Formats: sequence, structure tokens, C-alpha cells
Amino acid sequence: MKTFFTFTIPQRAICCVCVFLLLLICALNSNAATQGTAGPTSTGTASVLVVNNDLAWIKGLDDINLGTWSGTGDMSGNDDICVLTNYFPFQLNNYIIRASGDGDGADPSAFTLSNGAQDIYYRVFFTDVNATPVELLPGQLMGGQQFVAGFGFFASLPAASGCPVPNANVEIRIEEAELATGGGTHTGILVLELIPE
Amino acid sequence: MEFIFNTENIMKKLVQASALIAGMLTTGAVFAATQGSVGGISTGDITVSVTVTDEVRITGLDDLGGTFTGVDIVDADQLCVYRNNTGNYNITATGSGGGAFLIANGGTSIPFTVGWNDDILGGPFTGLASGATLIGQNTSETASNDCSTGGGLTAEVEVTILATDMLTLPAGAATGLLILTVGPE
Repeated sequence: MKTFFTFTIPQRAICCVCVFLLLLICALNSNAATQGTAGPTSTGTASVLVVNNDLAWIKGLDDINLGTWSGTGDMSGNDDICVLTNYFPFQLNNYIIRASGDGDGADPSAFTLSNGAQDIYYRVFFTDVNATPVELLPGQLMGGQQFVAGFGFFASLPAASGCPVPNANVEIRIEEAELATGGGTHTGILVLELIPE
Repeated sequence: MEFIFNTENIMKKLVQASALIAGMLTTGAVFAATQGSVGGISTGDITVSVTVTDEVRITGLDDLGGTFTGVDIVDADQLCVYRNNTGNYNITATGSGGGAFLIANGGTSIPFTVGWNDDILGGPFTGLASGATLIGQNTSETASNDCSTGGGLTAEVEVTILATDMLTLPAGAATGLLILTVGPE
């Protein structure tokens, strides 16, 4: 019994997609270089192409040492930082901030300070251009943070300049009840991630 | 005793000799060819000459660059420099930024630097200034004007874009052109 092959529409569509992908691949791989011809002199050209992906840069971070607890009251400390991006126009783009601490048995990102034997917990607040602190939850993405116009772009802050004009702030707060459970020096690491939206 | 001279034959011989001498005097100044003489075998020769001007060719060029990852972008391309006579060549590089080595993304441009190594088997890159000619380059291909046969590719060009400059570019692609010209020495 003969079997006839029928060229159906879905197969044509697949072929069209394959051709399109082939053309796309060819375009992406095309070499714009031109070769010289033989002669008294010969000139060739090569294109120089670099791709700059969306980049983010958080800098100006400093350790926060809250000092010695007096025995009463909460304690807090903060650090002015710089959040930068090369995604233009930066002033029209937001960013995401995520904070993660050393964790505890239940949450690997929990904001904890340890004296080697026990942990105390702290809270993290972040302030962007809007100057209204928002509390960050451990390991949670906090979007909608806004760059300060004119200071989000790398060009305004050369690499070696540190953070001369901060555009954000991170604050640590430890409540009295937590401090009361501690003893000795408690330390921890707070990780801040800056992600352009 | 009488001597009889055939003056007609003598005159013919004199005329032929004179023509031959005149011809030799005439042709000797223009052509180096020598004419055969009458005989069982007659041999003459012709001097053949041709002038081959010095020729060069640069081929094997490919686009350069890369994706910024936070560190300097350094990319190199091996290519072919052909020179038909033994001897050196010179290389001149210019860019599309009014001659300067620049890549641009919209209104923002940054520089790149260019290095040249005339021996892909080793040796350092020599920096090229835009528009300046680097002389005394050798190790060119003499047999194949595109290095498809013979010793293969002969030279290498390298471009460097500093990370500190990349940081001033907005996101996206930045492009420029590197123009390389070789000449014989």
C-alpha cells in the first residue's frame, strides 16, 4: 500500500519558522569586516562592537557599628549608599532591592546577629529618592525603588570616586527586647542586592 | 696579365654589408635581441623583461569586540598580510571617529586602543596611534595573497576597551570602525 506524504499547513508554518530562525542566526553572525585588495597599498576594515547589558552598581557601603547598648531603648544606625545603573534613561526606570541576613534555622535570610551562641534579630529599612523608609523583609524583593535623576548613571560617578553623592540609605534597627536577650558582641552580615527593573 | 673585377658583385656585397652594419648600429641601441646568422643552423635571442610592482594585501579581518562583564574588553584577530617581494611592510590604523579610535552609542563615545603584532607566533603587541604609520613590519606571506596556501596567517591586531570607559556607556551596543592600511617598504 502506498503512503502519500501530504504537506500540511502546520508543516509549512514550521518551515517558515525555521527559515526565519536561519535568517536571524545569519544576521546575528554576520561579519561586517571588509578585506583589502592587492595593490601598492591595501586597506581592510573591521567593526568594533561592544554590548553593554543592563548593569547595576551598589557602592558606598560601610559597616554599621551600633556601639554598646546602654541597657535601655532601641538602637539604630544607617549608611548612605549609591545605587547606580547604566540603563538609560535611568530616571525613568526603577530598581529592586533585596536584603538578606545570616539567617536562622527557619529562614536562611533572616536578619540575625550572633555572638556565637545566640542570635538577636534586627530590622532593615531602605530609603530611595522618595525619602520615605520602607522596611525590607529578609530575602524578599522590594521593587519600585526610584533612582535620583542625574545620579543613577555610571558616568556621574567614576569608579574611583566612591560615593560622594549618595542617593539611597539603609538603616538597621534593633529593638530593646532583642537587645535584652543578647550578650557580648553580636555581629552579622547584611547582603544588599540591587537589580534594575 | 689582366685582372678582371666583377664590379657589380662587389657593389652588391658592399651594399649588403653596409645594410647589415647600418641595421646593427640602428637596432643595437633599442633592442637587446640578437639576430641569427645564415647557416645550417641560425640562432638568435630575445631578452624578455617584465616589471612587477610591489604589492601588498591585507585579508582575514574579522569584527572585534565583546560583551562587557565588568572588566576591560580585550579582543584580537589574526589576519593575513601579503607582500609579493621580500621586504618589510608598514601598517597604518585609523578609526571612524574622525580618524580617532572611538566606539559610540548614540551621543556617547568612548576610546579604544589598538595593538599590532606582525608575528602571530609570538612577541608583544605594539601600540598603534591613529593615523601614524608603523614601519619595519615583516613576517608577511609571499606566496599566497590571502594566506590560503603557504605559511598561513601572519599578523594579529588587538583592541582594548577599558572597563572605566565602558562604565560611562549606556546599556546597549556601541560600535565603531577600525581601518587598517598596509604598504610595502
